[in-house]
Amino acid sequence: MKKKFIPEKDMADVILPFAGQWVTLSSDKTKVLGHSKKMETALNQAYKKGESTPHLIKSPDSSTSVFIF
Amino acid sequence: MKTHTLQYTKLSIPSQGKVPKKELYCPLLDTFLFNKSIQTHFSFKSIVDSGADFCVFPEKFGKLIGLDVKAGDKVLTFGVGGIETLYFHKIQIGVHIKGELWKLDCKAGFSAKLNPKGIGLLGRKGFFDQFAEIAFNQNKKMFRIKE
Repeated sequence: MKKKFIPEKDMADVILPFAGQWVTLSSDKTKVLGHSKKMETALNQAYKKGESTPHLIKSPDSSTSVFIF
Repeated sequence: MKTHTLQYTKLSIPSQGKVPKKELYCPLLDTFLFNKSIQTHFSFKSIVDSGADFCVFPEKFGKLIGLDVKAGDKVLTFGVGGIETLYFHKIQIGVHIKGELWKLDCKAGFSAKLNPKGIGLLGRKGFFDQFAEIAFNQNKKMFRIKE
């Protein structure tokens, strides 16, 4: 029997409006604390909001199809 | 021996013109880097990558933990993305597995090519070799880490 896939934490739609930008999220990944084209700016926005260890992610933009390294 | 079953993380790729929004599912873990008493004051995503020989992180994250990145052991690598120079340093990586932080000693490479991606690679040496087994179930979009 196939088990239905339920994403662990659906932060995908939280970061989607910031495609191509660095985004900092609250530790539970539900709130955007900062976003910028510059990583340092996004981090500083989160620190200023009192989050000592934000989660940093580069939101994929429309040119991203797959992650290949 | 404990086994942790984790779900892939969903990422959305925005629509562009007639190309609709897409969804990607990847085996990602939240990661920190530690260099003695200095650590990254943020977590970031790393891909659990069985195709990677080593653990590799963005060069700029190495600088944030006080490494003189280019003073590390220099290795030329050949991959899908072409030729890349990595600089290796002994660090600790911290990965969150089911809410628990695992600190692992690792000789990790740092790459300038990963800077714009902001993502790490958890490869076979330094990550896979520290667990009894790591297995993927692509159809269920799940992976399993056995201690």
